[in-house]
Amino acid sequence: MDGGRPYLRREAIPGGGAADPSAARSANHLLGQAETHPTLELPLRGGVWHLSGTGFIAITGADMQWTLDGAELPRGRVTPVAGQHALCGGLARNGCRGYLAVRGNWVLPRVRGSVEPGLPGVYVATEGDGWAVISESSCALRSEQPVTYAEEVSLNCVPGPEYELLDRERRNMLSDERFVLLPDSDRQGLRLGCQTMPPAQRLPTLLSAAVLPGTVQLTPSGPIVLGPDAQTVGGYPRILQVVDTLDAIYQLLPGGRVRFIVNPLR
Amino acid sequence: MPRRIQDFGPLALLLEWEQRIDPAINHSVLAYTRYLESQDGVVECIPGYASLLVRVSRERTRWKELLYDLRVPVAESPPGVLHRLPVRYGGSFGPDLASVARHAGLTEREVIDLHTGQDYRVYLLGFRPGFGFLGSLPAQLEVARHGTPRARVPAGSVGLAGRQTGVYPLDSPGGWQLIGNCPLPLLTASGNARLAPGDRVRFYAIDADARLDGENHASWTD
Repeated sequence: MDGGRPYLRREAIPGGGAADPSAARSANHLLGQAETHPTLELPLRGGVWHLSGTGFIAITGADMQWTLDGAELPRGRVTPVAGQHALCGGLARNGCRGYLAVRGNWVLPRVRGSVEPGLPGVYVATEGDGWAVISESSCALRSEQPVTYAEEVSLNCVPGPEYELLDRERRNMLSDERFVLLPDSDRQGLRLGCQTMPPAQRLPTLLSAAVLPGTVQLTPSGPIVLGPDAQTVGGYPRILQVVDTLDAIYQLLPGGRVRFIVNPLR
Repeated sequence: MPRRIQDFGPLALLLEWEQRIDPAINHSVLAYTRYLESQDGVVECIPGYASLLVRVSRERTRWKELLYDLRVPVAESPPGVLHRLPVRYGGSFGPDLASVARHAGLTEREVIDLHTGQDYRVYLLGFRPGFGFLGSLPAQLEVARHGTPRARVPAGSVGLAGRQTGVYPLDSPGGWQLIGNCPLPLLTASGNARLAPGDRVRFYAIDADARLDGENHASWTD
């Protein structure tokens, strides 16, 4: 992930960018590079990465019990590497998405300004394959306190264009309910389940119209909070618009809790 | 002209026209899009069938006031580009052609003749990069989507849904009824969408083993 492809939605190209930009940004800051420099975004599991050469790496985001050649590798610090190394991350224990940053120029094709998936011609990472990162300079061995992620996230929202279609009961439930993050959530959208909200009242399907990251759509199977790779238009009622960043909810593991705090827009 | 202007979060406004699929309404949406895109402080415009989301860098309430007073003349809009798209209909290229024909009480040939018999308007792009919602389909070809979408629809697939038709630019999941495949890429090698809202599309049938003719192909290089 890098800075994504902002402002191309009229071509139906999503904005993209890291799901937790603050984690991606801090990994890059540690390495002394731009905040939208490419990083690897690793949901749920860190995976095994073979590093070959001399350079600097930093890991932020979820706690995935990272190890370098078998030795514990803390998050939130610059680690110099030289020679051959095995970098291993396990299942996310706290937080959901890990970020692996490497200092230097990632030698990957940019399509519409970004290395991210979604358009033809981008690099698709496959097992056993690799790419070069080139850097001529070194950087200071900075460190920072690793982040601890909450298991419940409250999102400040304002009413969306179709909020007024909800009956009073459902408006109240939207504010009172503790929703559960469902496992089929991804960068396109975060699916939420709930115990008590009654089946969706009959809401009209709309003519396809714009949505944004942070738009909460009400689908027959429950609310979806749209993410950085969301489609650019949709037909489900847009009941809320999240005004907070989505960083925290994108670090929630499936099963985590979500609350909406609905405020009038000022 | 929009009938309603709504807030859409702190930095965007939603303009809504009468909510129906109509070339004149969509024409007005695109006239507003073109005008507003060129204004300082507007960061992005996202047109729909009969709506327009305007993202601004700041001062949403001031923009709302300005938009209430704005009248964009529609006549000035230039006509859209005409794209002629070759399609290999039926067989493995269009696995739903036979059932679409059956449902419509037509032969496969008649479905193809109807599909290729008119120009379509590109109302908007959406769903996936470069995917154009084209309309309106002749009434005889109106079909429902599949109840369960296919997990993978190959790039180039030409689909029908309701009174709409469209070409999948990339492999993706999809629920439209697939009647053929267009061998020309809907995204250029540098990732630009071929189609733009307001453009027109005319399909023409080619044989499964046809070579693409030079005249059309030349305009499709990057």
